[in-house]
Amino acid sequence: MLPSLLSGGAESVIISAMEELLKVEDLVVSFPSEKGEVRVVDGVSLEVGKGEAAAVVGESGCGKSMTALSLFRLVPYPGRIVGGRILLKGRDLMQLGEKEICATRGRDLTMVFQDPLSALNPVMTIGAQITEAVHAHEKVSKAEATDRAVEALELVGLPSAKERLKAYPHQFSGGMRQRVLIAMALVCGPSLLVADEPTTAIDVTIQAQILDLLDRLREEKGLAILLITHDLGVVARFAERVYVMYCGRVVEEAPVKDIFQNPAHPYTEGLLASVPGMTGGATRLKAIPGTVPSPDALPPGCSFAPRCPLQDSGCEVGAPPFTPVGEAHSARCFKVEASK
Amino acid sequence: MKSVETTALIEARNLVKYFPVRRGFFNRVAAHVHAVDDVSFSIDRGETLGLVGETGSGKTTVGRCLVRLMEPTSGSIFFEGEDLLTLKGRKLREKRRDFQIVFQDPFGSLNPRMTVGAIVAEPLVIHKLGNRRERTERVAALLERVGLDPSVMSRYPHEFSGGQRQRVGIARAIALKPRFVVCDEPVSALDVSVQAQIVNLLQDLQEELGMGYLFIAHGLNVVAHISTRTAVMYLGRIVEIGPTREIFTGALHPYTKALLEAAPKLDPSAGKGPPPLEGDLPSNMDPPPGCRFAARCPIARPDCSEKEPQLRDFGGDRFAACHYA
Repeated sequence: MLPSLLSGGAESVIISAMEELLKVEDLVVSFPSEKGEVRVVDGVSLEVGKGEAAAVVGESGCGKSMTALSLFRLVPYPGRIVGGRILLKGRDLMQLGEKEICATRGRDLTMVFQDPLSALNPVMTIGAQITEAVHAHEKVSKAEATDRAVEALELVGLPSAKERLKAYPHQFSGGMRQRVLIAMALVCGPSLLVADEPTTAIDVTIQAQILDLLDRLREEKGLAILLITHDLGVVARFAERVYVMYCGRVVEEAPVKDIFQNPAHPYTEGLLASVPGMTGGATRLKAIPGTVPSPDALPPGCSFAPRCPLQDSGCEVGAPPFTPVGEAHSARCFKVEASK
Repeated sequence: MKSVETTALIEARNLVKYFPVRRGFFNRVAAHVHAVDDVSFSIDRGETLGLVGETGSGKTTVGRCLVRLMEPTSGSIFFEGEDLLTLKGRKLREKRRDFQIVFQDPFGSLNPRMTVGAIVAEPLVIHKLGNRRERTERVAALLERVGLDPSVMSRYPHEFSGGQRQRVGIARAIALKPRFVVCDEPVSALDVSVQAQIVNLLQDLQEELGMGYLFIAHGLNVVAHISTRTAVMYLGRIVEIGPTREIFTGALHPYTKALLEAAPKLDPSAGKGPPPLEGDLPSNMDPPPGCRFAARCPIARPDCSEKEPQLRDFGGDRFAACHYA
């Protein structure tokens, strides 16, 4: 009885993982500049399934954080979303009115930011901040909101949650503040959590605790998580599906195993080679030459071409299309061989 | 002047730095933060000692004390056998040519109102080296050496990316041909592809100029890559020190082991074990007696919180401060 139940469970997990939760199609975000419109996000498409752990990885200025903010329609002025669709459970968030999008933010779709100290209000108790989130979305009594806050804090592993409701953010350590932020994001029962560099400001031993917490939330609550990060180690540890971004475009997407064992795009390969190993004693690091071009001075064609070891004159004609290189694995490069 | 016979380039002995915490009426000193508490180590010529530890472990304070940007509470620092802490005035200023520092934040460590040329030339001006033309030539050569075009001399720091600014900071640090450089998290604020460029540059310069480095970082893999020996700090104390390869392949101290286990690897099949350490770093304000790691240690025994472990010799230049390692 038990084994069949277990196998049935495993199957249903696979099916539910296929079920689509978020689908972004051809997202374009642009900022006006002296040289005209600058596209900081240029045709990004990505998907996150129910309960899935997806990651967007890239270096500073690649457009990963702007992509995350776009999902909430929170692109800072004067930037704006000029194209694309953002479908959450089949509903296009771009078509919603201001009231409706406000009702979605923080409820169905929530976010955890990089710097937990500046994301929390220093003059409000954490209890007040978490119940504020509940009251913003639901008509509940004060007592019920408090219960929900305690429940959320217990879920994220904050010791003696009830007593700590009256504490202020400065009374917590960095790791605990990040837990408080996660609790605030979870209090209305979202289906997708966008975590923008949630562990970047945190020490490694605490980082391991936070990643473990996020894993547990996925397992226990079926929460889907879209992780935005620059840290390939965190991606390897956490994600199932990975999108590598460079200069506003997704240049490679693949299951996590393929990104690390079988990278197709020269930028992904370069990134992996730049990270020193943990055993030490190696010779020189294989650095990617040059620097990331400024978004208002992108080279023609493939943006990575000037730094790419494989580039030739053919790389300057237009943006490279996605080439499938394996199962659910494709790369935007003229030089990769298509599978089959 | 005090001096000792030593072969080391720089040696710290029983270095202590306490910061007073003032509180209440009359601003009385209520407690002390034990930022660095009895730390000793030495660095040879052309050697890199990596210094790792989490926030609040005291690694930056150690670096700043070594180059006398901070006065240690007690202890001594010998630079080529000469006690740095007894030097004063002109003598100290002259000595400063030999030891420099590269800071973590490439945005905060360069004066935004000075041109890049003036920033790199400043050490030469302070030490009255060369005339204007010679200095300009030297600055051009330095900029070229760190991978920047000499024509950037007349530009300002805000026109540069983080990696380029860090190159400017490095050019300034090597302008006086120092024999010892403290690299205080020089690549932590940089993207990985740029980080690799800067790490390579630091290694090339070391080979050329024979400098000794104290390389402070919280990124373990960078330290594993660049340093000959590694010291691990926890709450103001060195808990383990030894050759880098041995530390990273067979750590002795339980804290070092946990730190290595917690660092994410570039291998998705590495598995998702439970986090190696529970709880947070305790405060280093007036720490309790005994081992400072005892509260979080997986192998702690009752007597660990009674007597403080000292660095023990494990042979092969390896030392760890643990009763049960």
